[in-house]
Amino acid sequence: MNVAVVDLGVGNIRSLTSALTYLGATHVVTADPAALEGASHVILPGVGAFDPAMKVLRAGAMGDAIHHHATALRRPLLGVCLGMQLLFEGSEEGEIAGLGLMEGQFVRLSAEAGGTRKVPHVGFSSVYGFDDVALFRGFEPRPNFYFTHSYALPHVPRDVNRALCDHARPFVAAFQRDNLCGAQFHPEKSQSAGLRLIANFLELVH
Amino acid sequence: MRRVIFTLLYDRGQFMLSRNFRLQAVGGVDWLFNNYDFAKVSHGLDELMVLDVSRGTRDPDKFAQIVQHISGLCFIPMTVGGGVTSFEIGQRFLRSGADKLLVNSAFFNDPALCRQLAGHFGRQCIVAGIDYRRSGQGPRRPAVDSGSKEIPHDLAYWVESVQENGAGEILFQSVDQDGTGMGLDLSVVDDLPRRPEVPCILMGGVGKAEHVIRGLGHTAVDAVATANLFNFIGSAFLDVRQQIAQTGVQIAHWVDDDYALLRNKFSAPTHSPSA
Repeated sequence: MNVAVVDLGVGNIRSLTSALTYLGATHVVTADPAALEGASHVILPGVGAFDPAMKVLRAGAMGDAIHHHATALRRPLLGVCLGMQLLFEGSEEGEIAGLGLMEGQFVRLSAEAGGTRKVPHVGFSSVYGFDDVALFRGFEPRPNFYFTHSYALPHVPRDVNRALCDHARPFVAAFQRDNLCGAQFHPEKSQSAGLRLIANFLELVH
Repeated sequence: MRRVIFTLLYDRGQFMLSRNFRLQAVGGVDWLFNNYDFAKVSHGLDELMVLDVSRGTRDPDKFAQIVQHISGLCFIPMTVGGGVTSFEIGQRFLRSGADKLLVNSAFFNDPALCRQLAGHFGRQCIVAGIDYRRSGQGPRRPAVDSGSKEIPHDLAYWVESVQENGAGEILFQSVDQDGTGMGLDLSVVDDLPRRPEVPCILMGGVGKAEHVIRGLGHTAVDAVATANLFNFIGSAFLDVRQQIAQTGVQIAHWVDDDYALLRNKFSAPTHSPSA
């Protein structure tokens, strides 16, 4: 196993690499598209806004390298938080198209008038409605994960396996379609539940 | 969901206990990492706060290194603060593993900086620390510079002011209750003329599990923080969480056994084949 963590130069990826170290997974952090070639698994983290991150992916060949890893080689790819959003077609937050590996558009979360649901959605929340797929194995009922985001994916096509979370309305908390995976929450900030999700991802083999 | 937060107080290479904002060293950085099972303690927490409370000259570089080390030990969100006097220092803390910044005196000394930090990183990233004193049943008086300087504003005004200048959460810390173990100042939020629109954290006075449970049972309180390194050791916070859940208050839960199961799950076998 050789995990490549893509460094977009925005946000902090130290917790993610600490989680990989805890799990005993050999990994590299890289901004070099060539470094993805030998990777068994790629993780695309992301904190910040959609367009600046897409610009970084488009400016170099990193976007192409991720595409190659996921579609030509069909090796496991995990997008985390903004990294998950970047795998899709686009977001209300930005004007630039996403990587387009998955179908779907992210929309801004809506706050409940006078309610307790605020935007951004920050904190531990329950995740439910897990489809029966390798990424979601071994969780207790309604496990808790740490979220911090303002945009979310309302639904996925039927052939995509997903788990849901509620924030005024249901949204996609995580998904798996074959080798493509994403988590809207931060597994690296979600105690043992998050470590389990990362471990499940690492167990996916090409 | 309600949150339990643990606060590490750091002062020039030492971790501290605090009583009425007077500090006492309990152990160095090595002590914390070698003899105090910090990772285990973190399994019962929703969040960690690490604050540089150095009364002398601060060394933000050294502190950032320690923050970085701590962030590798626990898989929960982390708030870092103490000495956020410039955009660069805030940015350095965030790059060292912090998810949020605790900003206190800067809301008084440099509110433009607070607005800049909130504008750049988002207000969910900014926790306003409000330290206050109270004599008897008199008014609560906010203070800055490690609680040493009262500011010429009443608490109600100050709560509005920090929200206008970018606070995404407010940490209310009672200087009088601090380190006493006598319980939290539970009515500080209720006594405000207007409930803050952002989550409220109470700190100062937690001595036992019951104080955390009572705090989180209070509707105006989103989170309770404690900085006492000895009141909750080992799995004590996990026990507190179970008790809180039993009272019907919503609190996050995790499978603690998974930590041991997942550790080094993907390591190559270390034993060498026998000859």
